[in-house]
Amino acid sequence: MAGSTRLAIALSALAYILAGLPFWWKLTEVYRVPLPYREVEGFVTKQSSSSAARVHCQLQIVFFSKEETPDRDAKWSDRLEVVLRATREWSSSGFCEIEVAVTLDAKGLCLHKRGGDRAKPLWECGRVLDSLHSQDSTSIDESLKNYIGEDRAGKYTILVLLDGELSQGGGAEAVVGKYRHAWVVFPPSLLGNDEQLTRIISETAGVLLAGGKPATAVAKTMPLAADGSAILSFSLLNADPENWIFNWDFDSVESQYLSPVVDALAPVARLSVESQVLYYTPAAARSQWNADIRSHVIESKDLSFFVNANEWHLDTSAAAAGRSKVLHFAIYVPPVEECPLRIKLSSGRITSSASIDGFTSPGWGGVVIWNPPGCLVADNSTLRQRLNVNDLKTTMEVVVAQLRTLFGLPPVPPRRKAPKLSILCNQRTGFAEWELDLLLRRRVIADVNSTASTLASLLKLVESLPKMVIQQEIGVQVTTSLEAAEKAMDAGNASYQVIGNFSATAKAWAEEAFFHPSIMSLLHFPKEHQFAMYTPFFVPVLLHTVISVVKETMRYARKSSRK
Amino acid sequence: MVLQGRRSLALWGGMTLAAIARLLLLMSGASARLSRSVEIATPVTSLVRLEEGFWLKKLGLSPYAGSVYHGSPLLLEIIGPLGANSPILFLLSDFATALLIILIGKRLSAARDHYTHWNIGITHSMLFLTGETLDIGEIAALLYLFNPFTVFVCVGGSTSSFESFVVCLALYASLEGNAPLAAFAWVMASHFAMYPLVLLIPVTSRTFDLATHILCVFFLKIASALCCGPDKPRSKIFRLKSSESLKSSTNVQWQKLWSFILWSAVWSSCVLGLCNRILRHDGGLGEMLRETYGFILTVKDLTPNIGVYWYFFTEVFDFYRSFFLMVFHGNIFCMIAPLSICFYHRPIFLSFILMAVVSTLKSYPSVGDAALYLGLMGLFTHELSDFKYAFLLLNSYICVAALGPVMFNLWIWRGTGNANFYFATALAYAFVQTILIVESVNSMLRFERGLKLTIKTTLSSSKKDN
Repeated sequence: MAGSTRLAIALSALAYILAGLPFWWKLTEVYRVPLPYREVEGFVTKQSSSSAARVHCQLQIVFFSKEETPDRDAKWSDRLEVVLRATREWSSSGFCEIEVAVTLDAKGLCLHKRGGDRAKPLWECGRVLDSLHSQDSTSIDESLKNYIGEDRAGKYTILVLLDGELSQGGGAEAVVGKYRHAWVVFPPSLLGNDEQLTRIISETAGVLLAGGKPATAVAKTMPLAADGSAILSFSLLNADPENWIFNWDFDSVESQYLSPVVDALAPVARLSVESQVLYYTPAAARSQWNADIRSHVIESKDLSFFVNANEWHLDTSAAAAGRSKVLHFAIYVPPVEECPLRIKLSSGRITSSASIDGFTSPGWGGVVIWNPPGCLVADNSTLRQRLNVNDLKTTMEVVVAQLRTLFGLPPVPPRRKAPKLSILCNQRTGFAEWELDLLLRRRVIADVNSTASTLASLLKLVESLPKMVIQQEIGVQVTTSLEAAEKAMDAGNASYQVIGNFSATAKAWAEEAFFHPSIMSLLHFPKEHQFAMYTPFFVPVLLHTVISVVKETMRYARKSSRK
Repeated sequence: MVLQGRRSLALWGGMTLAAIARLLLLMSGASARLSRSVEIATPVTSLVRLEEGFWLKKLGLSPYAGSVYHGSPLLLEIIGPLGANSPILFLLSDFATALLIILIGKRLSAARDHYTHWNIGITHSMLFLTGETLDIGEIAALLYLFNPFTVFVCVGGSTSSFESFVVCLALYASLEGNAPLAAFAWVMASHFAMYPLVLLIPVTSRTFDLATHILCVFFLKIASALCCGPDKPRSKIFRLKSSESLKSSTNVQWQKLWSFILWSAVWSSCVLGLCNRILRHDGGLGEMLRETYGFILTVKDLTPNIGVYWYFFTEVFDFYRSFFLMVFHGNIFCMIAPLSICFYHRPIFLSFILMAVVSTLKSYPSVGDAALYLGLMGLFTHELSDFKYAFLLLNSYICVAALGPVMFNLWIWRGTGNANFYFATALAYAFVQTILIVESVNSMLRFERGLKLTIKTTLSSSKKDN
């Protein structure tokens, strides 16, 4: 029939395109794994309503006396009640769900008072404590550790020693040890003063549980990557190696000073250490000569320009790429003509005349200015020196203090006058056990909070982009993260290590899901893109095919009607 | 006799010259330079890769290890042992291809002579140019041999000259009506290069009826030549004259189709069995299909070439990748049905057009593909005598062939150009080929329309005479 060939040709092209439609449908199908919307929402509300997840802590306060106490039972009972009530105010601090037990352990008298869980074993009365007389604080700390026995994260003891001979000058005195206990020397003669007693005890408890600060003041996040790791990157900066060149024996420095710190922090953060020596790294801030103290002085307001981003190539390794966290520690050796270099604080005070000075930048790291000793007097212009372990002792002490600051602790444990309270330092690691517990609790809270917000924003993002592919893997990651976070929140009496692992897992998987490459590549995928994808090829092809089909149909109809 | 002498001189002299040109190039050591050129050696046809695969096989590893070799294991066994002497094989296969083209041309001219004997009012001069010295097959063969593309591909170490030979063998055998040979050559060609699969093309039916036509769309083109004989005018034209001649001319030999299908099955199982035996210690057939057909279809190697795939698939979102792979490959298959309906009666012309389409749209094209269809184009010297834009197209081919390597050099080696420079020439090349296809189809349609008009006028004038 006339014209049927041409119609058939046009129709076959159209038929081919139509046959392709199911393939188009199948191949551009958006795969979206069902995400646990309701569970995440429930988790977020639960997490925000309880203001902060709670980790359990146990505090036992023991009044210890070798002799019989002068007061009667009833009097003591009241006193224990008062102390118990006073410690309640600390229950909101230190991210702790505190259970307090107060005990009087005197000769022939054993009284218990407690709030909270009844199932916990109580203090065992009547055990013999060796004489603590003529011991210094450090050895008392060790003796008490042996005496108290059980030592696990989250269990704290305050021993109130009712012993007049121990106190110097006859006043009350508290010491927080480097483990998980503190002791208060309280002369029995002062026992009538309940206010003084409760005050010193609650202050001690506050330090032991929350580092002496209310919880809200330290609710910042840790300088850690999503998986709870960080790289400590040490750089020795020779600002001007024309005059003197310093190198260092970093391996022994690391094994001597840094490894204990890294090991101690292991439950809180996985830290690794790297080092390098750089040359020609001038600081970006200018100093001024101060004739009074015969030093070059840098104003504290100029410190923000001190780090010279152009010249200081501080990234020590390729491993630092991506989402890992690097804490930089720059040991800065000033040039000869700027030595010694000191920092003028904002208060106008110039730091001590020691040869070392430094500052930290939150989340970035710290800078230590190391002035070569005696640089003003001697002519060191052609000095070449390899710094050994002893040369760097003070520097590393400053570094550890800076690390403490970066993790949100005071650089050195503070002392208090009234009531008299001192805190023992851990000479080896720089972090006391109770401080590590505190850091771990903070990290758990931060992790759970960040998991909640990450998951919530991920789901919000997924909802807002209905054409985005959500791979199976992301679904698994979200579920894993959510489960771990729930477990971390509901862990209750589980050990700190377990809770820490759960929270770290939760955060790591939440971040992993959020930064999944398949999501990242589709984030900027507007609807217009679909048009850009399809129009250049399909519009011309379809247009011509359809037009020719219409034309040929009309032609065919015309021809066949003419016949 | 003088004519005949000049004719054989032209033919044999031309062939000798072509051989000398190839041998000179081979001896000058140009092959080392040419084998690195992306226009000549694609990941599928490269001889360097084949040698690598051969060595892997010799070392007891899978020839496909490391994603270097993507050809057939049979080629490994045939070409691999030759080593440095393999260009001689390609030279021979080039001349064999030329001989086959001459034979195809002979069959086509014989068929044309045959129609004139039916005395349907078409004079010899209407169908053919007169006073020629060379047969169309000979023109086409010389075109094929002297095409610089063919020469470079032959010298440059690419298996595509071998593939051209198998394709021409399939065409020739189908014209001869030799079903087993046609099936063998088609199976081998499809096995070596995959794309000759599209030479599956429609067969005409006895009566011109739309329904049967569509039913027949998925038969084989080679089978079409096999069952219906060589290219001829539309059956409708014969019907204008008388019904008796129609019957004899368009008798479809169905039993040959069945025989072809049977033989294809036999040869396919033979080839697959052989491959399986060669690869029995390695991945077997599964790995072979993944690394050859799979490699061609999924376009895993995005090394720049003269095709249009690599640029697009480096840019496209992963999410759309599989869809656009389907669209790009679908373009080739999209052409089959309309072209087959249009040219069901001209299987050789149809295969020429489809080869050009494949060469434009395949994932790893080389100039070897162009060499084959440009050679075959010589067979249609008469039908395409009013081909337009011939001058433009010739110059465009030359420009693209010259600019491509220059742009590649600028981009990759000197670093002064960028990917767009090179891709622009690839686009121009695709554009030139598209024009060639469209214009060929148009000229052929014009030729048929002219034929129909001539017959109608002669018929009406003879009626008036009566």
